[in-house]
Amino acid sequence: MKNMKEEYLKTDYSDLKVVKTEIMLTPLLIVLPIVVAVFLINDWFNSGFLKGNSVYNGELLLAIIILVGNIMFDIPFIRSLIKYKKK
Amino acid sequence: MKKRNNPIQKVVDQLEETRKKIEETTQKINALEFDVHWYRRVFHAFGASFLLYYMLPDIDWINLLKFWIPIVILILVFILEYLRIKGKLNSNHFFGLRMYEKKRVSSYLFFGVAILILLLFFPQQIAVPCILCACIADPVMGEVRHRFGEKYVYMIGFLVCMIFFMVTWYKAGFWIMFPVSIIGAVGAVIGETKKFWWLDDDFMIQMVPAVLLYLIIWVGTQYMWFGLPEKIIYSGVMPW
Repeated sequence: MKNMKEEYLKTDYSDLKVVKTEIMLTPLLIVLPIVVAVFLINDWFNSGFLKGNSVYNGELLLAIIILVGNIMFDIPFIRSLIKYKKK
Repeated sequence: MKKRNNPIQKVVDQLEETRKKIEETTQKINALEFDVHWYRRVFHAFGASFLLYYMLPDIDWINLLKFWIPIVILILVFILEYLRIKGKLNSNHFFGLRMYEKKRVSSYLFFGVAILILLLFFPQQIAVPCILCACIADPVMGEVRHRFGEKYVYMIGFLVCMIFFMVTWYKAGFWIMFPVSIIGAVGAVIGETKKFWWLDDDFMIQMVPAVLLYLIIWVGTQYMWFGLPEKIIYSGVMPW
């Protein structure tokens, strides 16, 4: 199963149409999780931090998890996309 | 002597040229497969955005949309998958599919179905860590497997999942949070490792811990003294 898992469907990658969906979805894939994290931080700051209410600390922790989890994968993905576009 | 060497030299040069071309092409193919690899990772991590569901204000018409929009999206995805498997839609349009997904329902559908079930039928305190396990712990485990082999996958996967459960359950107090986190993390790791041809690990990593925790909470509320802690995301988080 492991070897199969690493193999992707072979497609004609020289055809730009094939990666079109990927390029089209990229802004959404990258921006939306960051927006969600920003909303959570905003709520923690306004409802929790400014009012001294610790109940909202969980939202901050979740925001950090979402941000770190996404940026960790976004950077190599954007790098690989830039490499592809250069080709 | 020099004249006699010339044809041999030509062949050697040609071979060298061919070798370089093969090397360049291999590099290109590897770079593209690398791209697919990161695309799948980013797609997984993107799933954490579905937590937006809990941030929406608790208003009747929004609650109605919260129920129906995910269902409609999933029905559309089901139709797309049906057309792809039947060959009416070319698999080339579905970027990043794995070989074994060509004749089978793709894992992104399992991923979506599990998230939908969690959002609609499970309490937030169970759904949030399970969704995070699929969205962040799963690609982390995949990356560890890819770079360091199977050896560290379960240990790192367990720790990452445990952090997610601890963060979501920290309001319950240590003596509930700690065992719940261990059980949830074990469930997620089991869900990730157990895969069947007809049921993807993206489904299992979310549903196994969710069902385990649901049973524990049910027993806790019926026969013991504990239940769900306070929720972690409050509705109406959005600034407008």
